[in-house]
Amino acid sequence: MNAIELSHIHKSFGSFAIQDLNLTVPAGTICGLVGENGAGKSTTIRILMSALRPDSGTASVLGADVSSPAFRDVKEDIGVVLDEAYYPETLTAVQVGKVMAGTYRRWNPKQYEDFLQRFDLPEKKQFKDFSRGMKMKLAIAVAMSHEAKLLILDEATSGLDPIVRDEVLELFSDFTREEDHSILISSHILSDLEKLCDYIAFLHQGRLLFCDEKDQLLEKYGIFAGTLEQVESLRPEAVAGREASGYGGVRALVLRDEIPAGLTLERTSIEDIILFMVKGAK
Amino acid sequence: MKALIQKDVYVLWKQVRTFLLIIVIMTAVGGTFNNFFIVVWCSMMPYTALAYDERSHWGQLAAMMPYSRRDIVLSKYVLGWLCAGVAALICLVMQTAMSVVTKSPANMGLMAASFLMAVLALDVTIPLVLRFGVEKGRLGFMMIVFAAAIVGSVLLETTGEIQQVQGPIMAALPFAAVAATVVSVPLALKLYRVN
Repeated sequence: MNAIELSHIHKSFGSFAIQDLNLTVPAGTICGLVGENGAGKSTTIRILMSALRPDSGTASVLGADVSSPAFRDVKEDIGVVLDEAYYPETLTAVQVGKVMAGTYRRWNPKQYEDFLQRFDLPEKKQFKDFSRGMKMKLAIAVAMSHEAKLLILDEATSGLDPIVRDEVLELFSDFTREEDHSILISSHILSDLEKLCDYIAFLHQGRLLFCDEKDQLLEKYGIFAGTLEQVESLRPEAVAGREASGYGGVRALVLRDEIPAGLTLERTSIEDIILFMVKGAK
Repeated sequence: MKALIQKDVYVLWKQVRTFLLIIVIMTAVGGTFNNFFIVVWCSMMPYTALAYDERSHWGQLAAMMPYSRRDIVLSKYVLGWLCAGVAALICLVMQTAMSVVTKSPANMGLMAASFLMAVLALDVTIPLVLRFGVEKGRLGFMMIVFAAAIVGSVLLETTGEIQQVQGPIMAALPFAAVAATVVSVPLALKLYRVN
């Protein structure tokens, strides 16, 4: 079963539109959603959670059509962390726990308490006095305390210091040890996604440029460093993007299968692939 | 819905103490206007809760949780009814306590009318606030109060004595409150937009 299925989604806001978005996240996997600010990541998440109705196309999460009344029950199985949307500022962590106990049928107060201690979150301090990192930690604690099967995380690791970030990534990784547990995570910290994800989906200006297995992407592409003449001698289909590298040299993101054998390529990273593709698109 | 009301009570809790103090002082001073004002004023507390919701973008987060649209909208009405009802009760208790000194009995009719007026005020304003946000909604509320004051004074001028219209208005209030609620809740559901 797929945890998430988006099929031919269109959503227009006038100057910006999500166009023909097809995205599948198999159950038991972690998918990183990458894109510039305004690329459509948050819009995609809102469509997935039935908070926004698409103009056309279908969306299903954990096997349920998000536009069906039954999806409200499915939300019990989904933990969500949103960037810039929090609990009202006068609430404390304990009060948030009590409200969530009345919200989720499978709320686990012991687990929530453990998370508060693990993240060193004060129980009686008002939310308005929390740092951004603390707010994110509280949101993660809530998302992981009601026995969710799917986590949808929008910039959930931003604002966390590197040590806590590492701990949180470990938590997310442990979460998917259960074969029916899945994660969709959007982040600008591509190194986190490279560490964590099985799949990478790249949204650019409302269009999905690719959604592939991370390891396949890293095998598919390589970096060629050479002269401008050398890069221009390659078949145009082989070059996904290029940039000047100083001293007249050029670095190019190339498809390994499309270039002549014997050409030396550097190993690429997800960050390189994304950056070259954005530059290529521009 | 219980969780949403509980959340709003936590949000408003610090202000509740101030409200209680003001209620006690105003009812101690006495007067029809004071008692009426307190109840209608307390019914506006959902807007304070909504202002906090807007500031933290709670609506976006709530849309991700297993709350229905109906729960989110109806919880604001229920909170307003609860606030107005509790305020009316406190006023009654205070009036009863004060009657020992003033020798005038608690005015049940006034408090019932105040509560029903508060329900009407909520019915008119909640759809606006849920659509346009608290700031613009408040502006709409002021315009409605202004219009009501003009209509009231015109009515008084044409009928002469307030006692002449008091009876019919009191009799019509419960029906008006129920009818307005029946129209207002579905309208608010239709107009609700996450701000």
